[in-house]
Amino acid sequence: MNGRAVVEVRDLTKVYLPSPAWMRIFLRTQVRVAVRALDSISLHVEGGQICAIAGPNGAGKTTLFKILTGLLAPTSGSAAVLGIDATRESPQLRRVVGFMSGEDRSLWLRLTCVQNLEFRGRLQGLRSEELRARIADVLDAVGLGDVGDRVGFALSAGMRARLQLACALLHQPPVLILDEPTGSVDPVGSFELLEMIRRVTTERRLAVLFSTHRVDEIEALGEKVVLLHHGHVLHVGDIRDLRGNLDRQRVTLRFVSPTDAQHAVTLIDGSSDTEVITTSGDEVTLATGERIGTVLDRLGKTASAIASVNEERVPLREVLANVLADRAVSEDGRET
Amino acid sequence: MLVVLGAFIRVGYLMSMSYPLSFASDQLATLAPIVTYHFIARLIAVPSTNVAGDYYTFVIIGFLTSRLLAGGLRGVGDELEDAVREGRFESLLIQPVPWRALPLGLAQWPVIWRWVNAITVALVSLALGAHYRWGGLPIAVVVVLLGSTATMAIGNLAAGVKLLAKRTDPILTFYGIAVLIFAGVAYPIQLLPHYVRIFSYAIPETYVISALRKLLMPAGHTLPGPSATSVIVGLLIFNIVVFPLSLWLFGRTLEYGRKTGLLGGY
Repeated sequence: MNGRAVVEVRDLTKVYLPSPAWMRIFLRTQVRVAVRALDSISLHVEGGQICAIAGPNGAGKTTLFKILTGLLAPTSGSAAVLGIDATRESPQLRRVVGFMSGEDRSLWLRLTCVQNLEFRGRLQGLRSEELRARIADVLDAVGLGDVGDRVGFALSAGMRARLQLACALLHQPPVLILDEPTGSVDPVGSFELLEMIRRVTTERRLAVLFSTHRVDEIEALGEKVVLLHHGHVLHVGDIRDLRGNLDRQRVTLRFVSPTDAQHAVTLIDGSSDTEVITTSGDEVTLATGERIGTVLDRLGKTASAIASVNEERVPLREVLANVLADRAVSEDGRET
Repeated sequence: MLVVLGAFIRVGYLMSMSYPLSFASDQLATLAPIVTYHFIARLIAVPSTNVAGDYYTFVIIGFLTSRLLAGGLRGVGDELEDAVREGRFESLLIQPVPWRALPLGLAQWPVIWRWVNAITVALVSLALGAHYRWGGLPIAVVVVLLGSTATMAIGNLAAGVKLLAKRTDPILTFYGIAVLIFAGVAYPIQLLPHYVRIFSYAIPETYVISALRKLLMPAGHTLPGPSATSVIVGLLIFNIVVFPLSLWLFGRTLEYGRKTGLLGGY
């Protein structure tokens, strides 16, 4: 399956429209103006690939996943999983997709782990003997083999998340869609869950899409990153590309005197991809997308007054925050 | 399909059994009216209208039938509302089960539970003085099954409304009132003014209750109303037309929910 597009999305747009007047007899809606949740996005995920759909709340991640699982119809464009059109209500689509929600409410918390899995398995059409074997297999895979007879309420948030993962794996789907899988799990539990997801997906050679707004999860799991913001794709590629496209190094230059520092500021400020963040006495801190040599070239003879140079890689968290903040300023929101 | 229906029945059973006190109190609650009717029946030992000479059995059959049929009527909507409110509805929709089959699955346990409850009530009513003609039981079961299917069809339509309306349930509220007043549960519909009886004739419950009284009461043949055979034929025609239509409409409602993003919210 490697190398072949497993998930293919083309020009996908979803606009939530306000309810028609007759619908308001039944239900008052909060949607008063049209909301463009996805705006002509395209992406593809190959077999064996783990793809992080990243972005802040309201970026369109859950809308995208609902379309890919057939729960939501797009306004325009197409989405397919293993060639099956996701825009139609399709039991075939749901046979090839395993879905895990970050909300543990989708479990029957008064039932045991095994009973939850039995119910899902029977809806998948699995017969008793095969179902028993599969349940034992997925419980072992997620580390819940010893607590199969424990009810959902008696499980920790981390264990419930693992049970949800087991439910998603039960029918051996080639594609996993994980919607903020670590949503209610503590940091240690999140790390364990992410490791588990990585191990299981590697062992079973699954294509995985997972959504997150947590940068540590992107770095831990995402081989490919799709950065969404207000329904637009800001970036598609691996994390190195993301840094390459968005990363700006932070460089602190310490000069032999404050006068040299001031002179350097006049030479640097306003250049294409370098900006002065702070100046303090003999120190100048820059954010730059250029190589340090290019910056020093621009300083000319003043470069000889540099006492020390400190290069710092900006954490991905900060890079994303800056990019998203810039976008927020330049856009006027999601409303169409 | 049987495996899927079995899964819904099992999960319904397990959920009911996980609340044992609620389960037991539900059973007891249905016994209260039959005790009340026992004493009302003693008050009117010589009824003024035709109740086949036995008001207690007359009213118990009306009460039991309306409860049995309510399982089909309310089952889908109630289960759907629980699933939406507790956050499980989307996880159901994501299973590879045709969406139009979901109402069938969701209604299974409520219907079965009402049957178990009806048997209990019937046995207790025997001890309180009800009289049944057991020979009519097999055909009575057929009539109730057809009646349940008919009310399930109405329940599917109501469930569609519930998908959009989430909490209110206008169809079933009005329907429940109509059954109580017009279907002849506690009194013969002949007591109703002529111009009101048109509502009685529009409700499947009226025919099912009437047929069951004819079949199960020792002097049931003296009661007015259509024969059991004509009721069976009428229900068959109703079910053949309305039941598939109700599933289709439920599917269309889900499709509308897919477009608007209303699925899963509450």
